[in-house]
Amino acid sequence: MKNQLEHILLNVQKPGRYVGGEVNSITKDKTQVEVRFAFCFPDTYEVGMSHLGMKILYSLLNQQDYCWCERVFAPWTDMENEMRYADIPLYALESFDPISEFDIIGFTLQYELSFTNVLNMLDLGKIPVYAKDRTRLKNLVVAGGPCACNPEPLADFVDLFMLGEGEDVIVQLVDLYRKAKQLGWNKQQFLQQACQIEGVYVPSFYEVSYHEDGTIQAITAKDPAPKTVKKRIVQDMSHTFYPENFVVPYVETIHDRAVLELMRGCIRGCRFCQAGFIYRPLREKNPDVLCSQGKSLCETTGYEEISLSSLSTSDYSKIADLLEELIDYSVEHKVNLSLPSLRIDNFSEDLLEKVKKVRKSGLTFAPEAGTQRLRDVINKNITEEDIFSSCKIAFEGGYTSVKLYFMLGLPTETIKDCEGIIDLAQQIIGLYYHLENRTKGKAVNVTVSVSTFVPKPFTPFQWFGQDSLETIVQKQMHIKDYITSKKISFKYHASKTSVLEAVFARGDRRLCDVVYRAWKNGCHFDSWDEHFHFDRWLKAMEECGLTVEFYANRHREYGEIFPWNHLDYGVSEAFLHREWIKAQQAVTTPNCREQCAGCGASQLLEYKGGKCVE
Amino acid sequence: MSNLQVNPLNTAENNRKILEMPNIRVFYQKKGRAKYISHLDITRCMQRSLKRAKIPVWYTQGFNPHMYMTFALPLALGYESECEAMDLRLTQLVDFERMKTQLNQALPVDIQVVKIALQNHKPQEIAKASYAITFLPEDVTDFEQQFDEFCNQSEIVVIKKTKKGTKPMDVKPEFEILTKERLADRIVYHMVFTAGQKNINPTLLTDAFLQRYPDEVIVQILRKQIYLQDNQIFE
Repeated sequence: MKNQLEHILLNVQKPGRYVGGEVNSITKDKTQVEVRFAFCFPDTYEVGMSHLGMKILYSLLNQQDYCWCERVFAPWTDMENEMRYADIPLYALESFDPISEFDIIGFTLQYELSFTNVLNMLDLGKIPVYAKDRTRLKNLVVAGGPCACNPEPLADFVDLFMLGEGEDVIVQLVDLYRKAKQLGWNKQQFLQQACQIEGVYVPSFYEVSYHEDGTIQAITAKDPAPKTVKKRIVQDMSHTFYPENFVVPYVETIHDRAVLELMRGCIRGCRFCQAGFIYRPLREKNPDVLCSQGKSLCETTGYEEISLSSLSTSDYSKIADLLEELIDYSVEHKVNLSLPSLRIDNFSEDLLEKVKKVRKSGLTFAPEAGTQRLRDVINKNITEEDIFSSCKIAFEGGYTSVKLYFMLGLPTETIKDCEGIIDLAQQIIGLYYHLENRTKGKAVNVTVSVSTFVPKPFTPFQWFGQDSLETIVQKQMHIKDYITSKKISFKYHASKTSVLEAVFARGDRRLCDVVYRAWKNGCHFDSWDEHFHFDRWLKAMEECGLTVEFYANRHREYGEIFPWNHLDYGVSEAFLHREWIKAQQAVTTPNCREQCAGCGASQLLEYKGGKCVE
Repeated sequence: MSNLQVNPLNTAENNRKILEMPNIRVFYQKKGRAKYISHLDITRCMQRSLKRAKIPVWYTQGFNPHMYMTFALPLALGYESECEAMDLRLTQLVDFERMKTQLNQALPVDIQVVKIALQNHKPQEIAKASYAITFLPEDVTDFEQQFDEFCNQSEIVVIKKTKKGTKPMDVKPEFEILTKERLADRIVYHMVFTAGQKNINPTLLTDAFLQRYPDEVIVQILRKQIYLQDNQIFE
């Protein structure tokens, strides 16, 4: 290990995050590979190592003999200070080589508030942050992930984005890069070829012009870039690549366990949920494939826990078959099985019984809105009866605490809807005390957790202006005052981060300068409360002549050209607008299994004649 | 689901037999990158490695069953070691050589088993540990002279951090220099320190010295061996 590094590692917290060497991490001979890929997660090791997408792509890239993919995370501030002081550039964990030695530097964009970390990591790696200042093919900066669906606030920094699911497109891209190196192409030649790959978006090939009021006049593609870029999807989940092992971290990470991905996409169509639209269409994985992947992961990692991951696990059509087999395996091998994000409307007694056998953990429901009217607006198709019957089953099964998640600032929300949140919690408490066979002598506790709604691209609420900060705070305070029971714990978040999130989620490329200035003024790790400086962001916005109001709070008219207008995620704008109209009338849309709503995502499927749900 | 198999090893009778068997002691080295891994993280790493290697480790029989595992003398963060000891209980006897091979395949390259045997001494019998302490100073000759002078004082009072705060202590009686190896860019001191119930980390001494020494010096510490009071090797 490099002496310099050794010198600083004992001065920082949890040095285990910065040394690699974990079981299943992959080391290759750098003289024997043609493409070196630095996979960067713009947050800490603990966060990044919990991310499934990174595990999949790390294994997949390393399966290509000619490519060596290594991991890079954002060093925590104490480590960053030491590195800058000792002049140690940001390095990859496998080889300790600086990222400037890598051919491709890839970022995954999981949330808007990690954008400044992208700049900071490039800078720590001594790589120019602006794409135009990187003239060579080497150090090509690429990015993907959910935020790539509107990547415009990073358009000046990133050479190309991969839209949609990365499995197929990333291998094609790395393959093309290898060819480019062999043939001695320059960066422009490479980008001109790369933009021909479906799902690859090269922002510098698009020109954006604006109206006087700041809205977009036109987005024009330059030759040879396509007019619109369509996202990529995996066609068949059961046959697509999935890692046989995961890198097993020494340091405890947020999600330190084996993960099985049951399906992609979601049938529900909750109108606030971006994931519910950008991951369409629904594609399930065969339960036998899942079981064998789960066993393989447990054997190669030694993990003591498997979690089932998807947007709505109880909608997985073969959940009973899967749990039957997995629970047997987990009991025999002393592995815990955890099931997050269970929707409550199909939470059966039978399923609860099975889950209970494995582990008794907290019960969490997400009604999202306090009244039935507002739940209809957001198309969260559950009724109070559903919630009560699920709670009843849970209480009779010995549970005494329930966590409820809500959002504030939803379209058409009134004070009545805010009060409805607490009324609902109060009714659950009442239900508990009316039950004959509840756990005796124990008090019930209902935790109400309220977050601030952020309108996102590719959702029916993309036209909606976010509540102002003042309005949100007023609503939070009103709810707080409205609570009379000590059995309700009320939790709410600082909404300033949600404001910034709203600015970037639907922002255009003029925000690149804002990101740059804020970063220069010391903003990074914005998703960490202790490092979030809203004043610096406001100052940067002001210096660039832009306003929070324009991006976050302004209601958009149908027909306005959005910054992501040239990106195609399968769901049509006409469908989204239909949903937006229905939302305002509080009319629900049935889930995909009940009735196809014609969103357009089935066009992404090559097989089944464009039909997504079996 | 309902017909849960009864594992014969879990019966009370078997459990009693297992508890009567002596513990086994796994000696391993911890080097390279692994020196930055904290003791808590090593514990988790060991559990997962034992699981990957399919070693029949005995689980505690309580409400929350976990692998029974104790470490004789936890190592400070940043130290390397050739003689770490981890005690385990197995549900059945295994061939130690085979277990060692299996476990080494499952362990990270920087943590490797050197020996597996039945537990001989109690961890409470540990009294001393030997270390190879490598200094990389700018001027080796000057460093050696000053460090020797420092160690030769009749009393060396350092500040020791305890759970209740800091307190001064004299480390002079707690260590001994055995030999020295001088190389072009470094000097290696082989030393013995008090260890076990009263545990003195070499850093206590080296930090006290380096605070007064003007140059930046890289220090590498390697634990070589653990001893009982009578200089018998801990086994």
